Amino acid sequence: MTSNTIATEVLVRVSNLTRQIGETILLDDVSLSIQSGQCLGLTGESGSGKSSLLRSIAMLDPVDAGSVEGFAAMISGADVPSYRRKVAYVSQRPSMVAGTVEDNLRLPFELGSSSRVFNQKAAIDILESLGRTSSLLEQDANRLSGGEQQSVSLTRTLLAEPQILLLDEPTASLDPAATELVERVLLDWKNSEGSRAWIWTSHDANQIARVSSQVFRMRAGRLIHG
Amino acid sequence: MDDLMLSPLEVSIAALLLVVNVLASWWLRLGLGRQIALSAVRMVVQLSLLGLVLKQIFALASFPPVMLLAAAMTIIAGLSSVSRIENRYPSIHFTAIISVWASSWLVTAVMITAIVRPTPWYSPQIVIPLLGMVLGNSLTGISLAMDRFVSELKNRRGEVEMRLTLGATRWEATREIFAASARTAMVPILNTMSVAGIVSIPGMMTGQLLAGAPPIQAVQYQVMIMFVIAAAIAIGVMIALMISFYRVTTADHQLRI
Repeated sequence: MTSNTIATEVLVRVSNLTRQIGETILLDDVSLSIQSGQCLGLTGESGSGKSSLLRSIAMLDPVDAGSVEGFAAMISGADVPSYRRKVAYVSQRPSMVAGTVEDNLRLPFELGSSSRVFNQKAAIDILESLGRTSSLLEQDANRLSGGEQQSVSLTRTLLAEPQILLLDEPTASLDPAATELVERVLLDWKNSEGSRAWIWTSHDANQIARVSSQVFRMRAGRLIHG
Repeated sequence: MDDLMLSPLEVSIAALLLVVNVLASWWLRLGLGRQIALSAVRMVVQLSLLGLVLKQIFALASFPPVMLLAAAMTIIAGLSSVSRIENRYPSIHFTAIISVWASSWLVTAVMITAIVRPTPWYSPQIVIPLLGMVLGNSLTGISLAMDRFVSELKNRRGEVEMRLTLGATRWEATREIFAASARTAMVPILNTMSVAGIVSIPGMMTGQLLAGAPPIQAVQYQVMIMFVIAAAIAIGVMIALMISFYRVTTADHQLRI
């Protein structure tokens, strides 16, 4: 397959997503497609609907209207867990289960539907590329700093080998040096396989320029082309 | 047994003991006097009404009024199990009533048809007190289970959603909370069972001894009712948690609360 044909393949298409809570419109008839190899940037004010859009693409929130099509099939019911393994949402507030960092990194491999096994070396490689050391594996995950938890969260996501990342302000709580490392690791991840794609939300226009080839903007729940 | 019958005068002597509490509260300015008096009056009114209703139903001894009273007791038990819950979801009352109903009526039916076997089987003197004991206990278990389940889901929402984003099913994402909630709900009855006969003589046995039953028979009844109550709690908790699980998650493996 040539890079041209990869670039035209639609991996995920969301159509007419609408979500409202009380009087607040979170998503207003949003349609978007993610093609293989695409790096989409998403900007907008706080509360404009960026997180809601990413969460709805990941099917984490019920929508009032609209549909999600992934890998040429409508996604619903029993398809959702395997879809989420390919289309991974990364929250700006990482969550850890009680236990060590290694316990947390093993999570994706302990699910009933997972046929893969945890690779400790791969985990250490990613942690080190994010500026952490292997000693982190034995530490209590809930006692880590916010930045360390974000490193663990990203490592856990990347170990599960998704095809699309939905990055919800992944560097919001990081200092400039850590931000640079995260960007580098994610660009390496992206470049190591041509079909990988992401949507990256950020308030930082410079970051959006660095990590995306196409930029969209959200305003009051509507998607506006960059 | 007639010498054990209480007259209104003898009941008032017991009430006097409570008056001492009210006086103490007034003396120490605890502000509890009004609450104690109100609760006491409420209890007297409720139990007197129950006595009147039971008197009528015992006199009729026919099937429809017994079932009507049993149904009313069950619905009230279901509703009061929700009244103690802080963290709710829409239709939680329906969940509570169904769980209380299914669990209590199932075990009471087994108890009546296979263990106690009164004649007729709907004999109100047997069915109503037995069902009452089962309801009182299962509503506490169901209430504890649902409160813990919903509050933990809210408090640990980030963790549950993190598991979902990794590809967990809704069951995999909430299983730990489900199990912890079931354990919490079973703790009171397990505690009661483990100290029964050591710390206190349980209610049913006390009643039987006061009514003049031989101690061994009183023990057998108490053991039987403990087993039945524990079974009712376990069944009720499982039903309540399963319905809650389907109400607070969606078929698309999302949280609805």
